[in-house]
Amino acid sequence: MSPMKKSNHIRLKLLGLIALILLAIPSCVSELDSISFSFERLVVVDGVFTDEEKIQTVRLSYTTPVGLDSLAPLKGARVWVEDDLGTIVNFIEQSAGVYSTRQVFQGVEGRSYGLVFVTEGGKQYESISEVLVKSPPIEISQRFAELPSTELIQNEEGLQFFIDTPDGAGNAQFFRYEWNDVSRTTVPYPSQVQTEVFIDSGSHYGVEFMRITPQELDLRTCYRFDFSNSLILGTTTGLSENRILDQHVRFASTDRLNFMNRYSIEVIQYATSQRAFNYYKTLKEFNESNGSLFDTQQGLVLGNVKSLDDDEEVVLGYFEVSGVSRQRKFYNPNEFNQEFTAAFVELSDVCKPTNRRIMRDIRPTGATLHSDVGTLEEGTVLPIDFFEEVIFRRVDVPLIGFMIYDIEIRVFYHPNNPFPDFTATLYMAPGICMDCRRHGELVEKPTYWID
Amino acid sequence: MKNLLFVLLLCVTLSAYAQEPLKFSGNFSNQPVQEVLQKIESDLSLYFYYSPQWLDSLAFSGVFNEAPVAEVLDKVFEGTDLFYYRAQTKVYLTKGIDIIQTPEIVGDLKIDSVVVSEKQPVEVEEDTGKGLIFTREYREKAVVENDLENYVFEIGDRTAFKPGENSTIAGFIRDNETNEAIKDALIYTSTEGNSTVSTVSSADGFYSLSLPNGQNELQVQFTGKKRAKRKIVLFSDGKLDIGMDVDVIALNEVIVSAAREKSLENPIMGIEKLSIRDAKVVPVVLGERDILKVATTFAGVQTVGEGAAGFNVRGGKSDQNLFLLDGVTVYNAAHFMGFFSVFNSDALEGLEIHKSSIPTKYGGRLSSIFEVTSKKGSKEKLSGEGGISPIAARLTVEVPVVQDKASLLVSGRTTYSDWVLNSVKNVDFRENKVSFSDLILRYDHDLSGKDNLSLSGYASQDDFRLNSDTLFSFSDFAHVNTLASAKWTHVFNGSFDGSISGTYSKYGYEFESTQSPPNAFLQDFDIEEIGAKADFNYGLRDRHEFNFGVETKRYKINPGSKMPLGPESIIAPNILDEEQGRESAFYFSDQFTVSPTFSVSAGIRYSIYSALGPGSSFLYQESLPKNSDSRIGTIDYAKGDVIKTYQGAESRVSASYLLGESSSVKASYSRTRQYIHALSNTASISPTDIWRLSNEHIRPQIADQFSLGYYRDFFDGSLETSIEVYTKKLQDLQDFKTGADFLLNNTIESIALQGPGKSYGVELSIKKSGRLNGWFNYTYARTFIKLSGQTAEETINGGEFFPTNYDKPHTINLVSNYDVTKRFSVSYNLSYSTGRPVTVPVGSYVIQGLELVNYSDRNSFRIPDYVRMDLGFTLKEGHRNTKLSHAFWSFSIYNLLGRDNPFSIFFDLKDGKVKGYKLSVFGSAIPTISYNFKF
Repeated sequence: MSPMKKSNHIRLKLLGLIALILLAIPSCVSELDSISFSFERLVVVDGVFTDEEKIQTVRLSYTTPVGLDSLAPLKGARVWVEDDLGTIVNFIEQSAGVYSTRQVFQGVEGRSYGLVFVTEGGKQYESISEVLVKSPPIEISQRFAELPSTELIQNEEGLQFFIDTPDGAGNAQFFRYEWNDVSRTTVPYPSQVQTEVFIDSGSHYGVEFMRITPQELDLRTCYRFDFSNSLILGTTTGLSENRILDQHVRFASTDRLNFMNRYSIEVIQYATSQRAFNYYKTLKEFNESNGSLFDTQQGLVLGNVKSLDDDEEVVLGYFEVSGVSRQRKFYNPNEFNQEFTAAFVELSDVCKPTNRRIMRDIRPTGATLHSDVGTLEEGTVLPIDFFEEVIFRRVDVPLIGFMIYDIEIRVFYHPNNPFPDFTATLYMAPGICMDCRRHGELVEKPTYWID
Repeated sequence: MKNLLFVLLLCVTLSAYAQEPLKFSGNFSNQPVQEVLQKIESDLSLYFYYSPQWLDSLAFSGVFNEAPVAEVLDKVFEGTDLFYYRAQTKVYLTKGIDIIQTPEIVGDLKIDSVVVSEKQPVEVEEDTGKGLIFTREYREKAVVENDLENYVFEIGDRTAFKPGENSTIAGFIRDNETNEAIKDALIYTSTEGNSTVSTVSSADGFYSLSLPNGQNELQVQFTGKKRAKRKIVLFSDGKLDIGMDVDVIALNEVIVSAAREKSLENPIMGIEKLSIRDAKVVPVVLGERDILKVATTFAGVQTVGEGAAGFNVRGGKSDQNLFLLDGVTVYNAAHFMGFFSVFNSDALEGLEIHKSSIPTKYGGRLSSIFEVTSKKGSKEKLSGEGGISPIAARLTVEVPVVQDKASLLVSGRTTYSDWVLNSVKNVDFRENKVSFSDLILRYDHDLSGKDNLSLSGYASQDDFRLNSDTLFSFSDFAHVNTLASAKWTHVFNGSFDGSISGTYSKYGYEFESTQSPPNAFLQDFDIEEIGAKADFNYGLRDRHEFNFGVETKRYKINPGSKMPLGPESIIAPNILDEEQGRESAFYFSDQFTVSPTFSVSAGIRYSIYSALGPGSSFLYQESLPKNSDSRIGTIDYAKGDVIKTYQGAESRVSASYLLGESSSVKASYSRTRQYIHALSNTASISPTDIWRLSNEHIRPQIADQFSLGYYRDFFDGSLETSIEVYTKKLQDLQDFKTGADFLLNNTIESIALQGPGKSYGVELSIKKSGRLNGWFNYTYARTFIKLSGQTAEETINGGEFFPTNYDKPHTINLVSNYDVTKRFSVSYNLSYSTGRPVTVPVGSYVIQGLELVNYSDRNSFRIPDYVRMDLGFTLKEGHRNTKLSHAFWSFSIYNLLGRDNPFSIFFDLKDGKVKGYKLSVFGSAIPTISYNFKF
């Protein structure tokens, strides 16, 4: 991050400080209502050609008006990549605007590659060829860090993940990084029932009810996936040693990591050309502004693709040729340093179900299978099939301040049911202890996952 | 002390009626004066106003028998330092201050009751008193002791008298109290039947006028001084010094009209003057009086946004303004990144902004000169003032070092935000630091009547440390201004004076990042300027006022260095080559009064700039963009070698023509050249901006401005109106390729773009004085730039002219102040301007899963218009004689309507999506209270 850029943050923070000194002068950032700007339709190239053995892909599209979520793929083009020996690799359109090699293809270090494509209308575009540079091996490390948060009042704590190139950077000087991480969370009391709120349309017209039915899913373990959503760039220029040291890639806040019981991060390093590096750097600067007067003047960012038919035509995007190296690491929470573990919250600390969480004054109504079971007292024992379809009338629960059907509270079937055949004790606990979907996605274990 | 009495006096009628002779009888023997006065009070129904302690130790002995009361009082106060002033039945006593009463005598020379005293008034240096030729004209006139106003001065040698011809009268205007020269006083003739001839005193108080021989009357006016009048009989060339008294009676009307009459005739146009007093009535945000912020309420002076540093004067870029503090360049005039200026108003005398006809003695910047003058300390008595506001505390002390000869002014200001931050418990702010401080020192020494020495020093510092900031960012940032100057002024003779001065200015910043030990570094920048100047003024008769001199400046710039910090750091040291340059100029100008109604100021400044070695310069292939690919060689220069020289003449011409008593037209043309450029591709001045010198590849910027104005006064000058039109043509304006990074960049030419610019506008301004006072102006101004290079990256907006990011077509400013009572005043400000242009996206696209926006034409959209109203109240504490200090409270509400004025619009990539946002700095009304005192 350039100091110029940084001064944006400084200024905002400064403003915050002054605000604090003066007890809340509001300096505010508010989201804009949509303003209609003029629109220019331009060809966009999005492709990374690497030395990894895989199906290589290039995406071609047109720009769309700001604020519209529409996609404008560039369909029906002929696309190929040509190396400096004249070898041609053809790409075929897999889906609208997405062009891939037929088979896996691996770029070769030292060769240079350029992209060529011809649109349906016969217009030809070409990228400036770039040499594939080998990416040196990387090593992930991490440590506890505090970052100034945008809210200005408090710093955000968490883990900062770094990249080093322990063997040096080799021939490469300019790097782009991507990361993806996964955290696994296992809840101690997976809910065995599901609740649904509905409004009675019959005799109790307009009254809200909650239906409790058995839960068929195993809500024990979920995985949360995150991936980089900004441009991360690094370079060895300006360093006295030919290596990357302490390159920050991912900051995972404690809030994000709390409750998980295993974490994995993968960092991918792309060794790019200087031209690509400068392109991304400018792109990043222009797209991550914060509105201060120290924002640099924005403008067109040109990549390495140009039209062969029209000199004036502006083509956006970049055809990047890069060597790739990657590393994935796994961590258990206790493997992080003490500063982190002190701040980290384990789910078992939060989830200590006691009978205290049982609701009072909940009267089942419309008990189709059973007659009135009476007031649910602390420790009230209910038959198991009570849950097959029991409808509760909506009752406000003063206990924690929310309602029984509030998703913060779930009903689960206690494993130590004193009457295993017939009854269950009704327990209630915060949703985060009972439903892993609060922490991630309920999916199969990823193939690369090592427990 | 004085002020207190004035106010008292102003509260009563000051009519100077002839008083009927009251007679008093009494016999006193060593009786306390207080009792004497009580007896006079009871006998004659007079009322005395005084402070009892003045009379404590005084006793009086004497006998009166039907004595006129004036005689009685004269006797009673004889030998004491008490003066009295009688207004009918009221008698005011003052201690050490003689109250001067001046009924307006308009053009009246024939006061028969006045007799010339044989005792020669001290002021007359050349009064031969020998001849007989004209004696009859005034011999019969009455003697009034020390009444200089009615005394008739003989000027010149009466034997050399030639009737019907003109002679020159010259002399100095000075302050009777401090004996200091009064600059810019208006001296004019008010002789009946003759047309008015006028002039303005120079910096050392010198004036000269060419008048018809014979009887004349001169009047001298100056802000805050009583109008002085001298009757003269002019025989031949001669000298008359005129002393002025502090204005005890005159109200503001007089002051303003004086300044105005002068400005009507003065050919200099496009000048804005602001005294600290004016600045005090304008409500300001956060309670810090700020003379530069007030300047933005003048026509043609704009900033890009709320709290932004830097000014745009008549469509000029923010680096095109020369800020001078006592003649020394100030490179960064902003504290707190622009929320405050670096000048502590308490220590300042005033501010003058030249925005069109810049005097030839100034140069080096295209758009304007902001001439800030610090206050001379009092040579009489110890005094001071200070204040506290929510941000800072300040104190100014004036110390007479040698009584009546030398004075020292010390003024300091510092924030106490650290203390505030530290007292905030519970929050992570404690480790943060945001502070600034500044200090002004000024020493003035009157070496002889003809020599003055003035030494001044200035330092300002800003620090911020933001707690555990992110890695790879700087966490400690500091910038420092250091200024020093020495100036020696010498008066050769009545019409010739000069000064030599030496100046030193250094600005630098450094920041360090220590969060990531392997990447810890310290980066800095600094610029040093050493200058010398010799400046002379020569008056030829009263018709020519020549100003000429030479100046030279030596620049040394460290464009940036980055050094590893700590043993673990692997940052490679990167030290850019120093840049050196020398800028010299000689100048000559003549303010020529062609006729009483027509005057011309014409001058030329010739400036020569050389980029000096040691250094190296890259050679590039012709007709290719300058970058590492087109580089074909390097030339190395040894120390002192001239790398490149630029030079040129800068003509500055202006003229004024009086259209009767109260209106005039003026026209001016001026050319300016600028050899040093602040590299900035941001809208506002940022502390990380760096200054670089012109070199082989970076050409100097040149501006030509034509302006035309019409000025008219109404109601005796209490309402001044003006309309000025200007057009500017600019060459080689400095701009940058989009995305250019100029920090630690040793090939600025590879990112620089230079192109022509044009600005034009109309400024309409109304200024009112009196109880309801203030100013209103409307400005229509446009400013454009054209960047048309050989390649797409060197061409912006298709190579057509496009509005700069400070182009704000419509601006309205209203500053008003109403004195409800002498102690209580209310002020109201209104500020409106068109929103500034910004660059907005014209499309979005996705790359590597990130949604991005595409920008195309620069500055094609405008942020919403800016509207702000402020309200301020100032309450002075009651003036009591016994109080040693005076205080005033001010309360202000900034942005009264709480309008959410956008500062900027921006687009941010958040969670992979592009969203538009607007940022407002002060989105609600901000009340501030501050306390100020004076002793």
